[in-house]
Amino acid sequence: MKTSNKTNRRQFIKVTATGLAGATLIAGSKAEATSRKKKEKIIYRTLGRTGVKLPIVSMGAMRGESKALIKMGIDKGILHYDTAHVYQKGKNELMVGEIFKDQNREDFFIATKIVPDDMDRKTGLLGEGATAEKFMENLDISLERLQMKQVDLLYLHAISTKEATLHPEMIKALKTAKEQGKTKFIGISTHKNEPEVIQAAMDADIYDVVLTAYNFKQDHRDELKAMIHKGAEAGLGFVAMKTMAGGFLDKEQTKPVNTKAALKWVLQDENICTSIPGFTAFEHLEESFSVMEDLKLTKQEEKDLEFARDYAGLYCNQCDQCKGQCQKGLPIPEIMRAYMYTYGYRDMSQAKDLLANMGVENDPCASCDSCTVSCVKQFAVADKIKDVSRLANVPDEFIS
Amino acid sequence: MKKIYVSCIILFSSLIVTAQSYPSKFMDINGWRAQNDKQYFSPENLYDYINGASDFYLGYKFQDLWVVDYRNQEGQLVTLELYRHKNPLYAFGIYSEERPATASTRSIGAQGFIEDGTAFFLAGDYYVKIFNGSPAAPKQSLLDFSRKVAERICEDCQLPQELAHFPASGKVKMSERYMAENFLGVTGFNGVFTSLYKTEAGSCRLFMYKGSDADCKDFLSRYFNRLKYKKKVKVKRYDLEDPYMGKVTIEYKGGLITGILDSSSPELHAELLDSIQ
Repeated sequence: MKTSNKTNRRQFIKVTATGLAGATLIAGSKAEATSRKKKEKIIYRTLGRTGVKLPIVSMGAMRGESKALIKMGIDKGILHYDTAHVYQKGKNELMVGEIFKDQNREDFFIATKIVPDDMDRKTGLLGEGATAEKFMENLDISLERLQMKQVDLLYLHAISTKEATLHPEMIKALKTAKEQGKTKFIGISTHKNEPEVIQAAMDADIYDVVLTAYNFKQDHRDELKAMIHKGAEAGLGFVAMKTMAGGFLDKEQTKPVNTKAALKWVLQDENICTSIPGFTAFEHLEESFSVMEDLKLTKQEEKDLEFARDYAGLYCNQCDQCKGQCQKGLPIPEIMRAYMYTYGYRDMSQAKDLLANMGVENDPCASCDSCTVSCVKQFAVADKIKDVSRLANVPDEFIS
Repeated sequence: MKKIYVSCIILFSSLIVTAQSYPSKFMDINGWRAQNDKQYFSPENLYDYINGASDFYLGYKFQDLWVVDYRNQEGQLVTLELYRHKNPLYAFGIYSEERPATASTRSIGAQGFIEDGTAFFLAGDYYVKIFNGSPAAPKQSLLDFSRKVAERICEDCQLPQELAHFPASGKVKMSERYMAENFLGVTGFNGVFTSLYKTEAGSCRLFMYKGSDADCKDFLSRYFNRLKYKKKVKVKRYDLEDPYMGKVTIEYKGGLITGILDSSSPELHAELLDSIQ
């Protein structure tokens, strides 16, 4: 079985030495793909200037019985597996290393990600502790855990600003990693301010790949889609994450997102080379893989996504754009969260606790003639504050 | 007056209250004062704080996170991260996922350890991390602060009692886990305890699930289905070959599933399986 796997996978992937020429499936792999087609259709796309061809469904190898799920992924034809230095404090890389030490390394496309040291999580800016030396130390730890001399793709992880994308120490570290042969390609991962990061990645002119959050629920999805297009034109390869938009619409996880539809929505964008869902069950993997049979959304799937968007639209998504806009200095995002607790989660007690903690009294807008807060989702913020702040006067015994 | 309150409640619709106290109990701790700039993260935006690792936390029913800086009179700084999960089992689950096998545990809360100047511990439904800042607190001071935080959460914090069901002999230290979701890759097979063993017969992983008999049958039926094993679920021990997990021994008794994974010779560990109480 293992030998057979090795042979199969070797035929699927080929990367040119420079990564510049467009590598494609080699002759043997076409035959393999044809044979597989009878069972399951696999769609391949090229990862930008790397020239690497990958199935549009890859795998974030980080949850549940991942070892067994990765084995199933290998069996099904998934080539790209994504881990990170920080996942499970390194245990995830160890697990990935354990699996791929028994595989032909060149048959797979393994990525890991390293967060710069001394990154301010609020601002996304890097401090003096973000050095190339420290980054390289972490990379060496990752390679040791992975039992590999080289990863295929090394990401600068969790970047949300232009400054961090272009940070000289990080650029130096990434270039060094490539020069020393510790990675074939370099990339950047972003889940916030993605358009800014993508533009900066183009400007930096050293990145090969962008791993970006991308899903049907993002408010700025049109802007992001346009930026992905621009990046792809410039030769960047794009990998999508957070494609399932959290998996559930509600905190209690009783209203699941139609994950198949969500994945199709992302993969309909042909500038996305592949996606990395984090599977936890075999049937999830089967379902995600099955989107390649037909990427077109059915009418019901369109409806499901529309419903999910509307559901999200009822509540604040904590973009923080309104911070500081209130003339009375009210903590608007927190009050909007209390509103969501009340009407979305039906958890009035938690809402009241939050309001009390923020010092919000009943009807704090009463003395204002006009509201200076402008919500990007066009919420009637003052009305919602008036509504939810009534909780301040409701005794605990009535809600607990 | 009461009528007004009742009206309010009707307006807010019928509610199920599952509130945890907001951690005002953490405001001032043993000479350490919480600073004003507190950050709150919910399941919706945890990603903004810990990026892709958030999926893992969400799998363990993460509820909310407060990130708060504290200063003492000497001006030293620490940052407290309070990850609250749905219940102590889930908190144990995420804590044990991040606990290194080589950790030297400390008596902080139910259990804790210090790594690279950061304290990690489990206390009730909280998984807590305390990072030293600048200027840094001495190690003992960090430890004292950690213990005080734990005391604010639970007076007698304990590890899950279920762990005692596993036999002690041969058990690998720090290897106990709580698998929150989709054990054996079966959707809904949630809440399984596992532990590694090393004996003269080799190594293996034992697992144990307690639940309703109907659930046990359902999980096993679906697992059998994936293996294309056609038999009906009965009270017995099964030796199975899983294409992705290797040899799997599963024993089903009403409301209880136990088994052996990750062993090339599970039959050699049968005694261990018998010892699960």
